[in-house]
Amino acid sequence: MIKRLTYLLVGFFLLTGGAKLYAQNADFIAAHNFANQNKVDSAKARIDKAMSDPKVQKDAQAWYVRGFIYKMYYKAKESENRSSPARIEAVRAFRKSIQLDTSKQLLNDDKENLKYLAVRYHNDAAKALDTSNYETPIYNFQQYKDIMNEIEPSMSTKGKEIEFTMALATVYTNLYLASPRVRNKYLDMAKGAYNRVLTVDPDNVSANYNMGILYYNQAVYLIKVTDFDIDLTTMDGLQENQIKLFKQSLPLIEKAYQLDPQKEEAVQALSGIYFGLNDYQKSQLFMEKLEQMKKQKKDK
Amino acid sequence: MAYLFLTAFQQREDAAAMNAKYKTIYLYSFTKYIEWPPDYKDGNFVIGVCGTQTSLLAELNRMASTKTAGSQKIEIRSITNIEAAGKCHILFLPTENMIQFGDVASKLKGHGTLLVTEKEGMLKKGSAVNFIVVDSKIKFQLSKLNAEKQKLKISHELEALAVGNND
Repeated sequence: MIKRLTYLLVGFFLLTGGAKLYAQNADFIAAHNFANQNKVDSAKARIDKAMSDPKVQKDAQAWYVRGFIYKMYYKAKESENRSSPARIEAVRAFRKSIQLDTSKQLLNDDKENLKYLAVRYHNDAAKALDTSNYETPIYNFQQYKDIMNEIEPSMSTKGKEIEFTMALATVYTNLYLASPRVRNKYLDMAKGAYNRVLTVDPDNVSANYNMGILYYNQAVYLIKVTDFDIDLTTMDGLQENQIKLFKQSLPLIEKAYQLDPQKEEAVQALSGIYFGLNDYQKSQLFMEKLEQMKKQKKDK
Repeated sequence: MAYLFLTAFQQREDAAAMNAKYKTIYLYSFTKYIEWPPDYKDGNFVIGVCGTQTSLLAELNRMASTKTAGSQKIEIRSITNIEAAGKCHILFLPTENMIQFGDVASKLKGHGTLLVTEKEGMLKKGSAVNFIVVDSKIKFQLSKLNAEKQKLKISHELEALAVGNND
């Protein structure tokens, strides 16, 4: 990779006359040399110094070298830091290089480096996402998406976005279930995440099913936490809310079942919803369907 | 790179338990709105359930462990034979056990037992309270006459909460 830096810069200077800058700024030369020797601390210190020169600041190649050195630094010193400041700076520098590089000589290399950093952002988002930490992964995934949309606008990030948002919705759901209340912020966040998936992918079986189950469980939870001393008039209002939630759950689970008729969980949930709506006949029909499915599966 | 935190299919809660909770709240509320004859005011307050309704029995037992009927301790009984049911303050007869238990109303005649059913037309067959479904909600019908035949006094508040006038 270091060879690549030297090769690239020599070629670039010959074409653009950038050697002038190279010759005039000792810090820039030193930064380049330190980078070639893999001395990342020194390279970083000298490129920082070099960038204080207004001439250097207007130079695409200088920004490319800065990006390259910061990328090296990130790989050597901050690869486990999911909020790595060096990675942020490397991305900024490559973007600036693209912006200033009117000759487009550095464009492919800038993009190649940005893509590497974008993939690292994505991997970090995937690895770190859990109930104790979701904000940094959200930031990292957004970085991945923004960079990829800039450098490869024709390539859709939709698939990755669905995958990430589904995982995020599961995190929110687990946080909600860890301390369930009739309403809490994680319940709304989980619903928001599933809604985002359903907006771009209305036929997503898991999103339809899980969103339906969120409403379903919310309905059941309403009565589960109710004290036996509730007065009957208040209980009537509670039943009203519960029915509303079951009715919100129904079309989502029905859709999951239509999309995947072999999905036993959906059939079971439909039986539960109709039971919740006190439609015992329909509930029984789905229960029988479930038994049939189980029998068929066993017979196979 | 796969997500370590995989998308999981969520587990659903038990709707049958929810239905049982509503019935339990109703049955417990009846203890506050109905007055039993004097000879039913001693000892445990017994709520009998015909058959082995697991969800309902579990919910009733949960209620009985924390609540009382006035000063009486609440006891939940699973009844398999009406003749051996003993003295019950409330007897719930689920639809699926109606054939098995036969004409419960006539067997309870004159006892201070509130017969609660959940099938259309049961008030005409002697039950005092009958659960019905109205607009997907569990509600109840009431027969003051049938209750009085069992020497039970129904409060006006409970009458007002019942669906329609059924006498």
